[in-house]
Amino acid sequence: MIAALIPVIALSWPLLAAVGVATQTVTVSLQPQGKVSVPGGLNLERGPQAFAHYTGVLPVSFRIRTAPGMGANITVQASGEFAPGDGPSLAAGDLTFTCSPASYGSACTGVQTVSVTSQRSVVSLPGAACTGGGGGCSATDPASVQLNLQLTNDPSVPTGAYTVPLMFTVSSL
Amino acid sequence: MKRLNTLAIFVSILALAVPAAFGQTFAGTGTTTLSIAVGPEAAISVTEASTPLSMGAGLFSDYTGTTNFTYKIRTSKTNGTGSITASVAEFGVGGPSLAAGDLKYTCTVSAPGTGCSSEVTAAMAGTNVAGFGANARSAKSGNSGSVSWTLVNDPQYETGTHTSVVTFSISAL
Repeated sequence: MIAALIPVIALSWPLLAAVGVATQTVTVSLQPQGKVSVPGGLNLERGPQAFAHYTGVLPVSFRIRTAPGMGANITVQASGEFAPGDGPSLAAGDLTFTCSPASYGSACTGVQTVSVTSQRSVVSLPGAACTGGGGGCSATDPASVQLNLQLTNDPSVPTGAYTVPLMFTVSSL
Repeated sequence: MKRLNTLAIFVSILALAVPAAFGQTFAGTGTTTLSIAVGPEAAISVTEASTPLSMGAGLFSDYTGTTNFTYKIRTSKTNGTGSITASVAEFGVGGPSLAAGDLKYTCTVSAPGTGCSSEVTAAMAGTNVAGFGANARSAKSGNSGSVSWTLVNDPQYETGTHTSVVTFSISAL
């Protein structure tokens, strides 16, 4: 019986000898980072009544990592006026939005007016914010917020098709 | 072979498990284009819920009164048209008669509308109050108009209160 075990031990020894312990320290330097994603386009639709506002809901997704003590904002600003030029007017305050509660961070409150000259906050994020994983981070990755857009239906705007580009930016990282 | 199959299954499961977020494009900025299609439309609001017709100074002088309204309109840029019409219900038995031509009116309509050019005999079928051409556009708050009524004071009318409902309609193409 012992004789039968010896070859087994002998065969196992080289395998055991191959197992070692090595220690290596991996260091990762995580920088604050923020990214945003929005649909490429959105059609605003008129309500059922004549001269009702045009409305639309725009989902905004974001992934964020902020440094402790350093918050961040996701903002929106028009890249230009409505085109063609005889359409609705951002300068006249024709385009406004409200925010639905964000899944993470603090969404804007009240009615905001979209501007071509200044940014409007959509979501404010605190320091040490992070998306995904729960705990101090958001439960979902990406996190999201919705913009409820409203465009004044001004009778003085001629019939036709009009567009306006909006740019969302993650700032103050 | 078995290991390859296992690997393939693992990859498939991983692909299914990838969050939907990976299908989105995330970047430091996001751009969306809002689009609207502005079409012809029209609306009218009659200022007074009722318009009393008052007798003039002399005996059996005509009854007169004015109904004011505000309209909003946008007609198509090319080949667009629009109109405001008035449909009057017949007075009751013993009172004035539309069929006899007892009720007439004149119109005052601010641009871009063109009010009826001469006195119009009111009728149950809609009669003209104002017309609009192509690319007619009212102000944002609406434009004004009025109808001045003249009712024949026929001694054949029975004493008492006589009423008729007038329906104003506006359309735009």
